[in-house]
Amino acid sequence: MKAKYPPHQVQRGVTSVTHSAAGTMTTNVAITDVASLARALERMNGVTSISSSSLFIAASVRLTSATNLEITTYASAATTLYVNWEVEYGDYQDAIQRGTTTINFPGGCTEISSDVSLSDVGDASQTRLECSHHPDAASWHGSRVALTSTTNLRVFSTGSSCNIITRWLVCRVNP
Amino acid sequence: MQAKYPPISVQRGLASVSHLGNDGKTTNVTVADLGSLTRAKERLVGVTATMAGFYATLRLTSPTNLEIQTVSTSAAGYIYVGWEIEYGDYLGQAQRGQTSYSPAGAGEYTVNVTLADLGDIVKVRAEMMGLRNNWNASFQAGSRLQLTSATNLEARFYGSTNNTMTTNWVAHKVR
Repeated sequence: MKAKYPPHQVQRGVTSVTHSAAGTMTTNVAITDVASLARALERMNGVTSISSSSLFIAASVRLTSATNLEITTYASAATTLYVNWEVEYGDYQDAIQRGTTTINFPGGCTEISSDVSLSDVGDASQTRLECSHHPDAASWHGSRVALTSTTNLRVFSTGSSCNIITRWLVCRVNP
Repeated sequence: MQAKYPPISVQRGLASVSHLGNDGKTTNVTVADLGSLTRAKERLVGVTATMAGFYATLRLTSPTNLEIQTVSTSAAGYIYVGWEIEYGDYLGQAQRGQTSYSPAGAGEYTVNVTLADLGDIVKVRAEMMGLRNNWNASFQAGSRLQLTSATNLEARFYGSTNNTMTTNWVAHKVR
């Protein structure tokens, strides 16, 4: 008998990225086929460097196809980054929504928000959120996401003289 | 008919923490009773601030208390921490802990944590909830986390002298 709820599975990995010049880099990682982007969620589980100088490092992740995880990193020149990631896939009612939000910052660190329209998620208490982000220039950086209604996601970022690019996803927790 | 997997619920909130600059704070947030810590997982859904130089991490310390630790390494302002707690039977025996490291020089450092056997790691997620750094550290810190076997969690810290880095983590079975 077919299970009502197919078990979830997790893929994980560590990806190293070497920056020859300061700025952003995109790295594509082949993953085992997750069948549907609407049934898989990606998560960035931290980033470190082995460089011995103080610098800004960041990484964001997003699934661009059922077999590809795109990792975008920011670092200064001659820096190798290590990015940990997980992809969980299973029955999420084919309902995962994801997107990218870019917020432009003037000089001086501050917080700015941007609203994104969602397809109705229904009950917010049955919904979880994820996000990861990177700047496109040297800056302190941060992002967070919040549901303000069942059809609106608010993306908040912090930066200075840069763009902050936030990858987000919204998914239901019950099948 | 009883559902195979009892529904999961999500609590969420925002902590706004005022800092004078070059300081650290602990904020306790009362949450609706989760029943058991082993059936709940906390999650950071991002950090932003009104100043540069900010860190945050969080953990459940009881079924009704979420502890949020924030640090400003620069000016006065606010640090904003988005959080979620997911709870339900599917989590089954979630394991959590707090891991710290204080390096003597710049670089990446590894801390291995022994876990109770989690079984098939394809059915397990391990999440890291941000990072707290020393308030007077000038070197930007980073961290990442990965399950390397059913009984070992590998935390890596990126920092230097004067960085006292702490992260919180949860490992749990997926649905």
